[in-house]
Amino acid sequence: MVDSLVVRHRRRHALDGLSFEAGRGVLAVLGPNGAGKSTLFRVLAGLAKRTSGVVLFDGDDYRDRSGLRAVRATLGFQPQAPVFNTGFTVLEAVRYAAWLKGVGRRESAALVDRALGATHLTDLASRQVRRLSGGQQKRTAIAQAIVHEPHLVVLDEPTASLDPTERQAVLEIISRLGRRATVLVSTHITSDLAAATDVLVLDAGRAQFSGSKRDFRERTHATHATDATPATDLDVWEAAYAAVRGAT
Amino acid sequence: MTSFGAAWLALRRSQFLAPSAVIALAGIALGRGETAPGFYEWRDRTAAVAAALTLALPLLSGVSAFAGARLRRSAAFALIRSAPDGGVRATLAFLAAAALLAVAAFTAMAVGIFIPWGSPGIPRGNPDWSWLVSSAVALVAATLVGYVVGILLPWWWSAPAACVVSYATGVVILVLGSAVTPTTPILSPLFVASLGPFFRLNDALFEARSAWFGGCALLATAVLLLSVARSRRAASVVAVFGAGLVAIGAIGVLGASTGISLDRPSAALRCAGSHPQLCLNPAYEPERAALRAALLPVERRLDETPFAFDRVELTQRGVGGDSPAGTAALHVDDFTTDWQTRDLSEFVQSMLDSRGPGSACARSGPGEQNGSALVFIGWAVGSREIADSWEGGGAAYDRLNSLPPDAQKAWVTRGASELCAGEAPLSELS
Repeated sequence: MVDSLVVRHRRRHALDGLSFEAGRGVLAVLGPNGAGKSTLFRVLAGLAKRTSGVVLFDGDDYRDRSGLRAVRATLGFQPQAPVFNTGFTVLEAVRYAAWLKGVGRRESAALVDRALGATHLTDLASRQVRRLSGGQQKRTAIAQAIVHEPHLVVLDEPTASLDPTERQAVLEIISRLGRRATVLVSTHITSDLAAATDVLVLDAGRAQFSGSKRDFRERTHATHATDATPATDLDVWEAAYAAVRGAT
Repeated sequence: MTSFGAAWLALRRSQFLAPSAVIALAGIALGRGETAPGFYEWRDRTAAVAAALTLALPLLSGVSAFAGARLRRSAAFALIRSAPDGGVRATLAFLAAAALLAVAAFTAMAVGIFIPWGSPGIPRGNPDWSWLVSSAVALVAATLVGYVVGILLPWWWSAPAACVVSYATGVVILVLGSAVTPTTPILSPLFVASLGPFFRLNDALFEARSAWFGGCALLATAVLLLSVARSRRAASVVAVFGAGLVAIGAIGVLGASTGISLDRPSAALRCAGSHPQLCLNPAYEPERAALRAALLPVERRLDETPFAFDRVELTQRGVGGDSPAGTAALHVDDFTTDWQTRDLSEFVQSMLDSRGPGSACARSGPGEQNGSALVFIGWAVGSREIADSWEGGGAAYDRLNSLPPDAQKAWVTRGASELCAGEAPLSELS
């Protein structure tokens, strides 16, 4: 739960009184560049400081040292630009992430195998990450984020710069994750809503919409009452997004 | 994976593994004098390691700053900081990897220089464990400080800046180190190069210096724990230990009575041969034949003159008390090309300066040598070039050399008092 979250960078509000709730499922966070998506995700990952406001996950408060530690233990984070500049192989990168999250040696092997399997990377385990394609690198970053089977998964633009095939593969992974965890996915690509169960639209650090995907879709009908009915899902999401942004 | 495994993985996959190997190899090459054959042959292997260190210290610092900056800009940095402990273990693992790499580079250089590898060029010297350990710790500290600089200032210029600043710091310390008196504390890992193999180092001083550099490494670790993991508790614990070590090291360094134990020769001189008997530190034993061959002509020319000598001690420059009659002190800085002319001319010149009880010039007042003394010095070492460096000296040298050997010796004997006063009796040669 995020309540009245404010993050100020010098004199500019990156997040300005943002409030929303998220449960199990995939919450797609939509917004243009500079809307505050990455700032929100960095706060959720415990990397950026709040100016004010409350952030809670499963009752753990980010303001408490112990609360933040508890959240970090159950948090999986994929940064916006997963640049792997070391010579780690896929297997080493995922193992390393498991170690960072405090996974014991005994459980590590099985969890790493599971994460690689879930992200279709088993066959690439011995390849150096920097030699993989952009999509494969994104999947490696997701494998790192989910290796400890977190309850909160924060994926910052996981489908950016991917070709359609890779994007589809990543969206399927995200959909499966949403069945057992709270997954937040930032994107500015409306077609990514295919994997979402809920939608949060950000603009200038404020929530323009927060609700279920069904409610979001309803916005389309409201604005398209006199227009031609959208032909595809993508058209629906584009129209809903335009409606939400236009309403402001 | 364990913490050790994480450090080992970070080391194996480190970006500065290959550059560090290159730096170590370059250090070995420099230390062994193979980068410029004949340009400078190191006096002993301790000095060679010191030379390698002057190269490795700034370069490893710069490379680790580069690696730190790359880590800061990478996604791994966000992953590390979102770990439950805020990245404390990961930070320590990365620093451990950097420290291991620095130790490995130093060990490789020391081994590469100390093991003969079939090359006879470098005398053995007397490597002192306290000096070696303190030098290794200095390299670790420079590497960790470079890493911290890269993490805190992840810009393109941080690596070259770390390199230049650490080199400049080393140079300043070296300059200070070269100007020290025996009571001035010396922090430089490099000043040992000026000691040669003659004297034992002051172990207490170097142990204190190891603590000092170790404390600096711990303080760098504390800064990183605070800035990366934002762990005040871990940072303060490490900082307390680091500050304590720095304080202990500083007290030890400042309280050390002497930097160099000039009153404690590293080993007794070994004397052998006759006319002249040559006495050497054991480290210089491989050079005995070359030294003897260089001294023989000088000994023959000065024999049966007031400047005759039948015993030569190879000693450290600026050190050495009064010698008994017939004993002369020779200083050899290094065995570069033409060292014979350089060091033997100084050897003869020092005879004219000496006021020791056994010296031919013992009863002379303090005299200032003018250029004419160069004729005598040039004649003694068989170098017209030296004599000719004074105007008209070349012609005087030719005239002296044209005399029969007995007449030459007689000229020296008659003019001994004038020579001791700094002037050669050239009127006799006109």
